[in-house]
Amino acid sequence: MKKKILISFLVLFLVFVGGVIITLHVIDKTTENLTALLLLHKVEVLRQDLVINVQTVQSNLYTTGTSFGKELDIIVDNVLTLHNRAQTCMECHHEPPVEKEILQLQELIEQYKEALSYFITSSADPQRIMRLQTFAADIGDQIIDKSQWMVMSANHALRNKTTAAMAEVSGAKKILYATLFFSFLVGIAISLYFIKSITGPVAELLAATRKIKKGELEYQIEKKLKDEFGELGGAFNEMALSLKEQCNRLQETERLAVVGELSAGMAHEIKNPMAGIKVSMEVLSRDSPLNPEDKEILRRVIDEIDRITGLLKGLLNYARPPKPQMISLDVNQVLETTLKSARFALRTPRHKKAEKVEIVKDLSADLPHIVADPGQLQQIFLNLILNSADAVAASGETQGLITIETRLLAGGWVQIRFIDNGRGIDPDSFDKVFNPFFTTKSQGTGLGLAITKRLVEQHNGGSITVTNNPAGKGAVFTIIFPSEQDNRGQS
Amino acid sequence: MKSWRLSCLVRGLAVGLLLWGLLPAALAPATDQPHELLVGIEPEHNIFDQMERYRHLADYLAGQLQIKVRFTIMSRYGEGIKRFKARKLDGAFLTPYPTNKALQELDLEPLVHPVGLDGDLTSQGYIFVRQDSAIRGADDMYGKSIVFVDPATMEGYLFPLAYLLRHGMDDLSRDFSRFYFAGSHASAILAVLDGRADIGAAKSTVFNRLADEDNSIRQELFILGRSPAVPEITLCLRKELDATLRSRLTTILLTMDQNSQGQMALKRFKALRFVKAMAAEFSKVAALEEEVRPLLKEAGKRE
Repeated sequence: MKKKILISFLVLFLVFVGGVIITLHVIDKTTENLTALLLLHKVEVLRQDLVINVQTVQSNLYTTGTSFGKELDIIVDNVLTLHNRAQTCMECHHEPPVEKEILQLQELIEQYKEALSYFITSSADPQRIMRLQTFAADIGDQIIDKSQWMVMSANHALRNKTTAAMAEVSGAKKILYATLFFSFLVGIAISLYFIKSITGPVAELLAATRKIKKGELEYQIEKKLKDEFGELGGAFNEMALSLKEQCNRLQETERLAVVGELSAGMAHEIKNPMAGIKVSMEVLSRDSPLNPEDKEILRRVIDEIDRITGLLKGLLNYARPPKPQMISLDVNQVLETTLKSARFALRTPRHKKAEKVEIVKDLSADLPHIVADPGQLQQIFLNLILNSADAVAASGETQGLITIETRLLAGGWVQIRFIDNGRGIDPDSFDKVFNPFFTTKSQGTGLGLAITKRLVEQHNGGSITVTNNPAGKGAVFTIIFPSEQDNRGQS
Repeated sequence: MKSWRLSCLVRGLAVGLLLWGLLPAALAPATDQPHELLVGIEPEHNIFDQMERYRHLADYLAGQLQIKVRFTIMSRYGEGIKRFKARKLDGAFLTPYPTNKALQELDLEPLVHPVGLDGDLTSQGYIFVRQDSAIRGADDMYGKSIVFVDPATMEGYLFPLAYLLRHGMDDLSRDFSRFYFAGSHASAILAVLDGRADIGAAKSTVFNRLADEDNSIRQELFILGRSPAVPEITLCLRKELDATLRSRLTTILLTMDQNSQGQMALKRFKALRFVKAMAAEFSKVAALEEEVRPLLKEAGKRE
């Protein structure tokens, strides 16, 4: 659009410049014509002056020596004025025939001066003086005739030039009007194009905005918009998707908050009676003279009470996770500590089947510190190790293997991966793995991974994802935390 | 005491103001300087071209003198003398005979001569006839027609009269079938060329100029006699004219070939420079006049 606007402005500018050039040309041409006409009129005046000058000198000539005669200085002045007037004619540019006539006129004037001089200075007999006077007067008459003929020719030329000049002015006016009209049309065309180019996409965007307002967050602008509007449409679609995701997340958060509140309330209400029941059952089992079979039943009841208590504890952990106590720590060190606890946990009856699972460490030596709660980090790692161990055990794999890997990623992120060779995850279950109460285990509560995710996300910038192992069977849980330096930068 | 001091101060101021008022008058030149310098010119071949030439000189002089300088043309040779007598001229560019007459009869001062483009400032009188005529000496002139220029010219009248006298011709009416004055040197030359007169007299400068313009003149005319060379043009000024002005004018004219503006004016005036004029240069003219005085007296009686 920016390019189109620039090109359009350039076109308009060029049309404007073209119009200005044509206008200037028209003005120049008109001025030139008018100047030529003025000059012709001036020439006309000069020629008339010339005739008057000759007539004045002729009058001087005829009155010389009489009582009407002028002083010689005046006659000389008149003749010199006549001479200068004729010289002025040559200062202008003339067509060759006119120039020839003017040269002839000047020649006549020179002859006239000569003849006049002879006449004026002559002191010979009266007959000769009369002859000289007549001779000079004849030349004067020739000058008058020639001047008048030239005046008539000039008048004719002036008339023709005036007609031609007026025709040129009229033509120039038409060109000027046509240029203005053309500029107007170009302006209108460009304006219409821009109106269409802007209003169409704006209407489309407006309609999409109204859809979003109505709650249709899945709505996408399908129409292919051009230029910057295309980019705006793309951004709008991304915004709608983002809004939908945010909305889903919000709903999830709200749901979790409700569950948390409910669970916390229930756990609080159930935990105390359950403790009472457990103590009673233990007393009954220890002190009463029951046969071994009945004692076994009591032991099972106690175990189930422990399971219910554990479930309630898990629910409380999920609903109200404790506030993390952040410190700078070495992830590898926390993993080492966690692994010791994990090996101990894997020997308990609950994880008996996973006891023989081999855990391999592939820890990066140059890992930077991260900012995290060490207790919660241990809980996260332990949950994932036990979950992987259970998954491997459940798959029936004889050589169960869990690989724990740490790496420093580009941008200062620390990555921890838990790779197992178990069954992997059913593709339909990927979205639900971290949901509370989702489990594939017969004895699972479905809270382990949900709590893990909750704890990871409590850490600034932390995230957890799960994929199936692309290099073989099994699943891969990947946690990412920002390094300490990066975390400060984000803060 | 106080009023005495005040009185002294007032008197002192009054004397000071009086002296201040008299100072410019005391510093002013004693003579009256004219606001305009009117200079006459004797007619040449073409009086209009002549006026054009002199106009450039007038402009230059006006610029240098800071007064108006006006040239006025005279229709006849010798008219300048009349106008000087009527005090209508401050100065004039005069030909030799009027110059000599003016020096004798009027209180004029010869100032400068213009030097022509050929470097010569003199002219001489020629007596000429047509080549195809049979006239080759004074003896052949009897009964022919003769044209002079003007009674007020040395080359066109004094010299031919002296020539004729030397050859025994002392009565124009008797010795010639016709004699008349053409009014200008060129007219006299053309009159002989055209056959309107058998014998003519004119000055060498005009003769040579016309001959340069038309080669046939030298082929068609035969020069019988030549007068002594005398300065052709002389600027004469009235002696009553302000001495400072005369001195300044002389200096300006004599030095005008030494500055670019003056050189330009000289070029347009068709002269190389001006040189100082001396009254003694006209002794030859005076001698000629003396020689032909009887004939002049006779002519005067007829007029």
